[in-house]
Amino acid sequence: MARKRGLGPVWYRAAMRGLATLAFLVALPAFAQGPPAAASVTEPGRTLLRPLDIVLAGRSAEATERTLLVVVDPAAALATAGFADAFANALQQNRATLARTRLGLGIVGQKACVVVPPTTDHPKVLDALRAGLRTPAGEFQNVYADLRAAAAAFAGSDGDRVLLLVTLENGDVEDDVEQTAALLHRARVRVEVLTSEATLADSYWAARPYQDRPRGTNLTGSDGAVIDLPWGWLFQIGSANESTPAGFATWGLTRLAAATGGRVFLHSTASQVQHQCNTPFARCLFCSGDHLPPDDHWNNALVDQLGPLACSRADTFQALGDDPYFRLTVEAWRSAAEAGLLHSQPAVRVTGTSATPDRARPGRDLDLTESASFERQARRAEEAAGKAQQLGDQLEAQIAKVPAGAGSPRQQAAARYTRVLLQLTRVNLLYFAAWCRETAPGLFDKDTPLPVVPEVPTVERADRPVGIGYTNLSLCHGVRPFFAVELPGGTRLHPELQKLDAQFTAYLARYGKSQFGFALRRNSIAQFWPTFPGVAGKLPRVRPKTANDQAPPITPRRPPREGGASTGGTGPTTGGGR
Amino acid sequence: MTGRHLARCALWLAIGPLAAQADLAALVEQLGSAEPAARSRAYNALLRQQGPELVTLLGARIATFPVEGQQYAIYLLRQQPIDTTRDLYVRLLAAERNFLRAAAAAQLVRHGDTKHAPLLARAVAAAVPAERQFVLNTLWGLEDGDLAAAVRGYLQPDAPAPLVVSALTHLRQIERARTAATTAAVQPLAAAPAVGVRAAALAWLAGGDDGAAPAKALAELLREQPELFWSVDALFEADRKYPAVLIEAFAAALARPRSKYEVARLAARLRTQAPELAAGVLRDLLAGGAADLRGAALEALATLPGGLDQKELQRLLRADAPDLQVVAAATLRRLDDPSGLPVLLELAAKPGQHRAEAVEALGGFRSRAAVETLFSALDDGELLVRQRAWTALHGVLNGLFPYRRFDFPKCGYDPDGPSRQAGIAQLRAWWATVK
Repeated sequence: MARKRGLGPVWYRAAMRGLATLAFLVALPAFAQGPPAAASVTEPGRTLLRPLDIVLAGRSAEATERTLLVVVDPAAALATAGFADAFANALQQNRATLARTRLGLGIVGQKACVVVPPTTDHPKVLDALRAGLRTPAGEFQNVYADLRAAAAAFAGSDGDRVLLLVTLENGDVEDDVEQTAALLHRARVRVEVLTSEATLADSYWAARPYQDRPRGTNLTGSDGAVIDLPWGWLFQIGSANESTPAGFATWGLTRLAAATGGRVFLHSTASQVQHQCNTPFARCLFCSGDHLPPDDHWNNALVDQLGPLACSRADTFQALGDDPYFRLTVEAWRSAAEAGLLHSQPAVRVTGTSATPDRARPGRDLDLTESASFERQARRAEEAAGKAQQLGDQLEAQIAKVPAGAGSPRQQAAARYTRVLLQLTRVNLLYFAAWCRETAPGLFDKDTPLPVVPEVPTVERADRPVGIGYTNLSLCHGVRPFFAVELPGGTRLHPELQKLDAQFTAYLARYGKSQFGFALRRNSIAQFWPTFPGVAGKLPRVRPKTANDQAPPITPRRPPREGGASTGGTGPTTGGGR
Repeated sequence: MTGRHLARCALWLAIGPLAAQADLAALVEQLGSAEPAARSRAYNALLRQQGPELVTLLGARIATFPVEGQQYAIYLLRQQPIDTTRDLYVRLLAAERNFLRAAAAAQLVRHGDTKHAPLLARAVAAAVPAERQFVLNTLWGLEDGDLAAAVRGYLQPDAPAPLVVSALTHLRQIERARTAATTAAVQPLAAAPAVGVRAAALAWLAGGDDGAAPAKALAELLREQPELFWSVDALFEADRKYPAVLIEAFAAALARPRSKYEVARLAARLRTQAPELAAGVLRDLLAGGAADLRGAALEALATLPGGLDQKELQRLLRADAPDLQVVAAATLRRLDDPSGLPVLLELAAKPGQHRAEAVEALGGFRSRAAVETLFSALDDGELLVRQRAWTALHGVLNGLFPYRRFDFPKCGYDPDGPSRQAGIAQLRAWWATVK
């Protein structure tokens, strides 16, 4: 019998209305909370024991039917950290709750990934894990593809399905994250992730698009789906975006956990927690590696507030498109890049109320260092410094107009960071101009009197310079100590330095104990010097091929990261600060 | 200029190089001396020498030296460009002594001649016990399976403990990850009669799979003989999490340090393993230790997360104990708080044992206010204070004037020299032009 639409017994309609109301009330908080945040899936701590204990113990105090597949990406750092021992320990401690758990093992990079299908023979899994960690892999690995392959191991299994992914290095080799998440979600598999800390708005691979990578993948690495912090500022060697610990995992891994109801656990090695002001590209004038920054211990609540979103990349773009601070940052970033103040442009296009991905374009090159025409370079630098001031003032005024409560705390921090970096770039440009006008000509003037001993001439060459080089003086101790330092332009430029100090100090007062405060301290005052023509050396003779020549690997090896804190291959770290 | 002068000049020009050559030959000869001090002096004198003459002289004499002298000669040859030494290394591959064969092969392999790797492994394996420590010193930066097997052969229960420690340290570098073969070779050493060898083996095994039992045994050994810690310290890995029983043994050693250097080293080891435990022990030392240990404990505490807060440091800065005041001022400076500077300026001028430390701490401040005090300390009656002031001044001036270049020896000051006034006057004259 056909039933008319919308009609039916009274009790049926009443029940449906009740259900609809209930569904609405249940869904309301979810809408009110907005898109999921990485903070909601990221667990505190940096040890191996806690995550293994939590995941192996499961969600029930009693032994229940369960399938747990551990997928391990065998990096050298994982073996050194004693992962196999920690795993053995966790197995032992949770043997009662694991009684009905079928345990399996997958090794990233192995054919079809799974090396021990789920079994109740737990010692067999442990032996295979120890064997797998004995041959650490140094290649880029597509963990997302391996996870899709590993999902088949859950076929036909009853009870709770959990996949523990352990990867310290390869979360940044992204292929289709959403497809992986959807497949695992459909298979009712919860993904728990044990990984290393990502870099805040990591621009490392964006700055190295030439890097070989596994077919079908993109190298990313940022904690968020989008690089939302301007990078590549003029006169900064190595970007803060390449070495600032994010407090969260790479977006791809966070997304997998969030989409499947899992969690992210971060791990860092003990030797990673030592603070260093000096980077390979910046030296510190104010200490000899013994600095204890007062902001070293982060504020967990603040770090969480400034964390990225854990939703899909498309949803992230949609959320960012609505964020007034993000729009201001992108606008200022693009204008600054067009003025030559950055060598990157945002890979985002903001239109109307939405944001869409855009091709990454380089910023304008001011060509300040390629010739030694000091006067001309000084003029160009002063023009650019004027533009930096104008953009900075404009951004500050626009930030002040954003209504309270609008926009996300993270994007507000990014916008304010951009404001301080515009002033820092202005200061560096003014020092550059002062050096070109006042210092550089004297270096080559025969009439310049010789300095009083123990000072000796900075340049002892008779030939003409061909350009201008620069190094970086770290701002890890803040701006104030630079007041005592002799810099080009002398006290004449102190007002600009004081203005920078005020902005810098205010920013740190608000964001010091967080990833954004750390990022600000990773920037530098530039120091300039003349460059001379290089002397061509004898090129090595090309020898015929010998047995010593090694065939290039099919999968590209992961090169050590230059300049960042991740040379150990396990990412930067807050040192358990959250 | 008279004819006699010209003749003298000509003679000098003719015999000058010959005399230098004779000096060089005499120094090379001294490398073969039986007396360690003479060998060391000759080595230091030859360190700055470059050129084919030195290579020729070393090549002619190296085979006749005792192994200690041969090691010095190999170090000197490494300073020379490979193009000038390659032929000599090739010749040394046929030397009688295994040390020379190993050192030459290692250097050639390091420069890409990997075909000599098997010979290197054979020479390492064939080295007699007296040569083995010297052979190990030539193996840095090499990774090879056969080489690891040869080094593993040194792990004998009757070998000297330092050789076992050195071999294990090299194996870690050669193999990168722990291998089953090395673990199997180390296991018998855990029951060796020599306690040093036993401790080394247990320290290695404590960091591997199933490290709990060796860690427990080592902890017992360390409780009985805490000084053993220092002989096996190199075998503990920074990133390895060690069992609690061993950590407690470290803490026990930290509670009874013999010097301030031990405090710093043990605290650094514990900082990553158990910072809270370390903080407790260091607080006890700070409260009741000897004067120099209190300073070291304070310094170490400051490096621990939450070890000391600024309020506590400010209190110590006002304490009537110069050694603690100095450390408090230096630690506050490390925390970007310059409030200890006036205290240090005062202490550096005050007589007492603390002056050298105060002057050194002053060097950490990039402040123009520190310069005059450091100038005064350059003429202090105590050599250590003068040396620290000289080093501190370099740091302060290089930090304050990054756009200037200094050649400090040019001003003629030497902290250990008889007359220091001229140098100090020169420095003051320069300071007057820039301050």
